[in-house]
Amino acid sequence: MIRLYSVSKAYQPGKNTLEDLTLRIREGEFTFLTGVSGAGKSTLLKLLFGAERVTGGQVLIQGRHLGRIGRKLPLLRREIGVVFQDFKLISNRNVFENVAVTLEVQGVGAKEIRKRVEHVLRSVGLENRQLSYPPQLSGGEQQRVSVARAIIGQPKILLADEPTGNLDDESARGVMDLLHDAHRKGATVVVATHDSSLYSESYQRVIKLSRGSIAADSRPVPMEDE
Amino acid sequence: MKTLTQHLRRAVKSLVREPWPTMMSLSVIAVCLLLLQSFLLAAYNLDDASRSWTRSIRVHAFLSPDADEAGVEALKESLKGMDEAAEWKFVDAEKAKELFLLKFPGRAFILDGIAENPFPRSFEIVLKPWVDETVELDGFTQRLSGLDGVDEVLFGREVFQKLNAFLALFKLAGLLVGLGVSAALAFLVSSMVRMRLYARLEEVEILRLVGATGGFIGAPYIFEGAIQGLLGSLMALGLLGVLHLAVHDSAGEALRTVFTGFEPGFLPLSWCVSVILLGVVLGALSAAAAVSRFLQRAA
Repeated sequence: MIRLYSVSKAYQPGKNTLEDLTLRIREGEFTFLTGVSGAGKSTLLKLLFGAERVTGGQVLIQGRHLGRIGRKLPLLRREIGVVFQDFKLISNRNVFENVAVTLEVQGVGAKEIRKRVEHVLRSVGLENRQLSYPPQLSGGEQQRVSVARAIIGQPKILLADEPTGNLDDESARGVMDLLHDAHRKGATVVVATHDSSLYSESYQRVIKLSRGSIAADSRPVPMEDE
Repeated sequence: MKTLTQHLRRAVKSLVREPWPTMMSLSVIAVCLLLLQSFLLAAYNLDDASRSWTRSIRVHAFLSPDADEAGVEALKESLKGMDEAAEWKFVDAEKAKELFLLKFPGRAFILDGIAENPFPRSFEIVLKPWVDETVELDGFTQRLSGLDGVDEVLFGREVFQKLNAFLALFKLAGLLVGLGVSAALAFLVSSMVRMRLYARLEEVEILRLVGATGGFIGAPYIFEGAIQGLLGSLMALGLLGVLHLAVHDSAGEALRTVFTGFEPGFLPLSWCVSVILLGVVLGALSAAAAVSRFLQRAA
């Protein structure tokens, strides 16, 4: 599903944010990427959805080489849902429109969009906030909109960059529940977080990054045994 | 089709969401197009006036005194074979004298003391409507002059030439104004679209993250350009119509005096459709250029 071979990324010459990173995330896996700020978690996620390009090495997503994907990148991105710490919602579009944008891009018809957006907003508990605009929502609500936008296209891969970073405990739990739901429905989920409480009691794979390299890769419960 | 409707809906929404900038840009576009359309209207009417004047031109072929009856008949046959001549009439010396006295009754004294009728016989020739170029007229009169029995050929060549030269100059000025206005319009629309795109940088970034292609991101802006071109053209045509009505009587009177039988009119429907299409195409193309440049830079 996701493969990285000797990947390095440098924003400035000689200063590698990621260094010689080789990694494989299998289909249906739930993976936490952890590490202190600057360890390279966000950069790694950005490489996975093509927001950044590798300086060296190769990234393969579902067998497709991101370095050679060119004009087909938008098509790949439609198979990847992304949740951001800063939500990245369009401020002059309401909740409904923000979520619908994923389906509009895929060319889904208006009736189908309405049906699916209403369904997903119910599942994230925002059915009554459809016409609200992002600035009128709390942080937790905005993040749930962001999750709804990421999961509505039923992506094969779900990436979340510090999804609970700006949230209180209750909202954070709510958002993590949504990500686990998506995982249960078959998505491969990668969550970058420095919050150890999110993974300390879970039985998911935890990859610890340190200075751009993998410092630890623990699999408390192998996938096959789950 | 479904996607096109979505883009169109997004474009309309975006224009309605920001009414003041939309109105401002529409007004400027309309003023630019009004200038262009005014030139077109003037050129159209001048062209029409010139044609109506040309239709009133009469070529006079004066016969030499020694041309006999057989020669006159031969000339009539030759005229039948000339494409440019729509109709003609033979004016004998007596008729010519009669016409002179009728047109210039105060100058009848000129003929006092002249025993013989001094007026030459002539053919008065009406031209076909397509003879509206100096070169065509010159060719015709030269062939006419070369016929046996024709002494002199006269028509208002200088006036005709000056009118044509003025029309050519006016059309050139119109073309230059058209090019200038088109360039200004393209600059205006592309600047507006660029400003909108930069104002929605965050939105563009998010659309890209969820898998939008450049076409999906750009299409609503291209529709916006086309809609602005369409509305701007319609507003300009409306204004031109009002202006035309306002000056129709006074300017029309002056033109009717100069060009007999000419009635100034508004742009014909095909021209109106063309200027509207020009606005739409210019708007869409300028927006497309702006979007393409923006997406290349933002990539």
